Amino acid sequence: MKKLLALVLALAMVFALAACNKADSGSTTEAAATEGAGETKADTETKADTQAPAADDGNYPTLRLNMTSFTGEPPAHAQEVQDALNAKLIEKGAGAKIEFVWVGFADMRTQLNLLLTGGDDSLDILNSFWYAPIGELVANGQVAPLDDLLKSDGQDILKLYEPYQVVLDCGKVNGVMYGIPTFTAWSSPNIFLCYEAEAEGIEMKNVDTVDQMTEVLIKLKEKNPDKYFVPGATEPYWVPKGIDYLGDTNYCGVLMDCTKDTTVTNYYESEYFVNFLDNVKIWKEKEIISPDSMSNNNPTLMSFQNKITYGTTGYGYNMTNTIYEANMSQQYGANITGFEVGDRLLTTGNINTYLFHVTSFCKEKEAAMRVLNLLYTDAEIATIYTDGVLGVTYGINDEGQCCYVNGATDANSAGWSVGYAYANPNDFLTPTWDYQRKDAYELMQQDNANAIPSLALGFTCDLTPVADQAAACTNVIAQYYNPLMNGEVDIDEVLPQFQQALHDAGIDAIIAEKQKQLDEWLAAKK
Amino acid sequence: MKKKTTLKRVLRFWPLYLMLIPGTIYLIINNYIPLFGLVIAFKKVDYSVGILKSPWAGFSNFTYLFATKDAWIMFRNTIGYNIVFIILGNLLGLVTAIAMDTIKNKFFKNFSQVVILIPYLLSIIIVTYVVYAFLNPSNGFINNSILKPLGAKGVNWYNVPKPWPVILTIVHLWMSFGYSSILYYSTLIGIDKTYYEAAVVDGAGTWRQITHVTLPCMKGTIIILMILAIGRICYSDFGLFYQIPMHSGLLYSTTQTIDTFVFRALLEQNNIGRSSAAGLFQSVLGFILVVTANTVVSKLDKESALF
Amino acid sequence: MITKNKAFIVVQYIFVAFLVICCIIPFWLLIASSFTPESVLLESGYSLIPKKITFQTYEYLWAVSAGVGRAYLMSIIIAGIGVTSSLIMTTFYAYPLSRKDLPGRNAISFFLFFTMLFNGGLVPTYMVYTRLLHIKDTLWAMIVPGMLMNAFHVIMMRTYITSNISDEIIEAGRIDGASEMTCLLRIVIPLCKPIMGTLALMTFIAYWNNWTNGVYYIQKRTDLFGIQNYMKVVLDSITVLQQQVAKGINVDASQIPSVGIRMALAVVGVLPVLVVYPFFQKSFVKGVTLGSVKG
Repeated sequence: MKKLLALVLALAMVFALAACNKADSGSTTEAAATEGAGETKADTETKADTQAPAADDGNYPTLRLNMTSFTGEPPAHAQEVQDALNAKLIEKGAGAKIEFVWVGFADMRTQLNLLLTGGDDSLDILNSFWYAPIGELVANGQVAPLDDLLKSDGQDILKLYEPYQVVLDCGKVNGVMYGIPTFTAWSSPNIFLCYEAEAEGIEMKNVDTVDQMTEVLIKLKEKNPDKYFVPGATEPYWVPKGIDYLGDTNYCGVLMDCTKDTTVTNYYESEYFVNFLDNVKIWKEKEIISPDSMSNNNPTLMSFQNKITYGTTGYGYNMTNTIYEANMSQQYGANITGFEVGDRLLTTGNINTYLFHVTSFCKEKEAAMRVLNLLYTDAEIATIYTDGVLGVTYGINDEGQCCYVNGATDANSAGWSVGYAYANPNDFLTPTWDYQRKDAYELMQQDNANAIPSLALGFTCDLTPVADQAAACTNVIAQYYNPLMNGEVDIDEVLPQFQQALHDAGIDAIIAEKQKQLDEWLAAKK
Repeated sequence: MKKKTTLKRVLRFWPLYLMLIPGTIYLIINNYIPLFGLVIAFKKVDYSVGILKSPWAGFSNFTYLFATKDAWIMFRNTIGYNIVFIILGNLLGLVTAIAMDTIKNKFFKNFSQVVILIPYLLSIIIVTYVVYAFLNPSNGFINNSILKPLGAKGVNWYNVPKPWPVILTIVHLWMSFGYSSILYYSTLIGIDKTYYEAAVVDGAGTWRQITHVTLPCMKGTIIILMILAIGRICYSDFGLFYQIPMHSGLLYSTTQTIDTFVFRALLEQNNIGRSSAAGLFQSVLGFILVVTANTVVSKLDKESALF
Repeated sequence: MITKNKAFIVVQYIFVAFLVICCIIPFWLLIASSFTPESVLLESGYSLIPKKITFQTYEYLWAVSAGVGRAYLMSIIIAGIGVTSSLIMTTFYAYPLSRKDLPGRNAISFFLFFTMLFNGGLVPTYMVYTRLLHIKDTLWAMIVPGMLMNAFHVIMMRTYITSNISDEIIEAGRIDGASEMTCLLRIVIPLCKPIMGTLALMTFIAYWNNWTNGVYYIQKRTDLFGIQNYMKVVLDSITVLQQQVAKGINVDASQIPSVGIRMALAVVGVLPVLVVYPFFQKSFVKGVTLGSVKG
């Protein structure tokens, strides 16, 4: 037995040394090291190697751009899409090529933290969705100012945003542009979804308030006594989209009535929040909200999909299209239905969730802006970015909509994360998919036009001066908020404790700071 | 002339110094060069100019640690749990090692050694699932199979902070005792058998062998393990205190530690200065305590001291 | 220990048996739930005897198993090189430190110990390894950062040598004319087998369970991933898979294992360590017999 172990270790050493030598001596032998299980991978790598020099003629700079990979590995056709995109970029005069840097969703924050420290392996163009709010990126010096670049190399983006100047302004911090919002659906009111079968015969129209939603929930519960309709969980099931929370997901200091009033107030002492908790009491009493919430850490839609609950609250872009899409692809295993709750607002927080930046480490900033310019405004390039290569990752059906090809059934098997996404630069330039309504993008653009802008639209606050209080409040909220929202505690008793704890942690200082910055911003706007 | 003899002594040991070279190089690369990062705690980091050129921030990165009224709770929890873990952990490790040594049945001995290591091998996520399987309020093992048959009412474990000191201690001991007992066991079997034989000749029974042979021989290892643990007294196992209680807010009074506080406080702030400040603070406190402990130990018993 | 005290021995057997049960039940729970359908887990929770048995999780694992073998091999390579170099470096560092007459011993101990308390943090360490040593996307990235020599292990070994090997033995060797190296190889190492076996095991486990280096330092060369990083990829893609299967074969999303897969992967990750354990254990026993002969 001992000899066997020695043999295994010796073999391991030999393999390893071989692998290292090969890694050092360049990428052609690298393919050889992956022989065996990685046969197909080796093939694509060598292919890529032989193709690369051919396209390398013009000596263009290569710009690194982060892409999110949900599976932790690049999609199967990543290299082909990158090549196609580069060919098009060169053809259209970007004067630069891009390289996708795949970052796994699960470790996104860690990996981007490391990549954005300014080494040789840093990024040139950053898509900050899911990573960090723009204020932090600016404070850490990770992103570059864009005003001059937009004027010199991003005129088409400026033209695109001409009718929506105030939306573009959401990428500003202290009056300087640091990020370009994606051209997408910008508003997302609160919604409620449930399975069609459970909701049969229940009137679901004209719901404007949480109180009215509760009435519907009670009817649902009466019809289905053993089912739950609000997912109690450690993941929040409700984001108050009817107020402007100024991009602060802790809601410390919000505009309760943002279309009329610019007074920053304490959300946790507002009538809205207290009333919401009154509704939670009803949900708890009538067993509408699912129990054991402190140990359910499924995101709301997963609770819904897994039928832990048969309904869920949330927020969505366009109800008509959301339901159409879900039923078309049978995402939840059965038909669903639902309604919007409350106003459709246009707030900074909704818009600057999806931003593209040029990093401060980029050595070819003009080229980076030219690439962004094309990604935002050129239909062909936007389509490659979104859907990949025609005939490889997607096809076009008779209706003129995109469809899966080569036996693919979803984005994963298509080998590229195909389809509309809010974080893509401009998907309104791309064709719709066969599971979407043909007029999906028109609906979304109508929503954009109909949404009511907040008075603070374009304002981003900087919490650095009150960072200590923000840290303290974050902890207080982490302690009290979920138990209250899930009705796990006696609301009448705990709510005052919570409110007091927030005062002790310094929420008033945060509110005052936000008010001060907002007032300055409003004054400067005039 | 003294200088010359020192030099001579050093030269006499040259092969030993040569042996130290690979490790020293590694420590310099892996540990000492990155220490420049300690300045981050005093900087307002701006990556566009680099860490070293970023503006100084004084002690402002540290203040958030003490900004809450509840700051003392997390300090109390961190240090309190560590003291309990150090005492019970070492005790259990030692007792298990001695028990292993007593067992003569070869199969059972080998089998149990393998098995007690299993908990140490599982990732914290898996341990969280296992603990949840026991504590799940509606169909967990404890509520369903123990409390219910006894006619007792089920407990909503993730809502009640009181039992958690016991739960976390049990989980910690369960996860770590395999490791510490194997560590002690390897020292234990290295003890020269003649000592025991001599003790038996002197008429020593089981208990006297333990107190007069086993423990004195293990003393060095025990003291070193204690000193090293004291150095980490301000740190806590993040997974244990964050994942196992399923980050339930209701349990903060007994589960919040410095590490979980820092994680939660900085979740919304991508601020490397503040996280480094917390780490530096924990290290400095640990350093002071270790140096104190080591001085005390070397006063009492020079051989056992760390340095 | 030499004891004829029957009661004491019986108590020890019972005690160890109790510990064994404490460790086995949760592990059994893990294995059982990897065979339980997801819907049953969601409804009635975990139980020691599954109400319904499914092989779905393992079928799924089998379907993606092409990569598992490769990842195992990489893990073995990584751990093999890591454990060997780590043991050599640890021994070379611990032995001089154990010599009470070595000038500067305390300073060197402190130099070593200091690294256990203070560290520069992830970002500076990353900068050193990627900008100074250009280790990114190489095999060394999986082996070197943070793992090659553990100060704790050095201190454990030093303590072992000072408390278990008397100075006289080494002195005797020196008088016989043996060089320091011969002393180390012929006298100290054979007597250190128990602790070396333990440290080798601990290092092996550390390498086997490590996934952070893969996350920090591997960007493109995912072929260098060991089993832990590989399993991470599998887990991360489960959410994607859930939707896929739900559409493809028209079953409920709750039918697809996700907790079950975690459990199955935990079993897959732990088993090899349990298999190699006896190898390391042998070296303990060898050390003991050798030690008693010399002593």
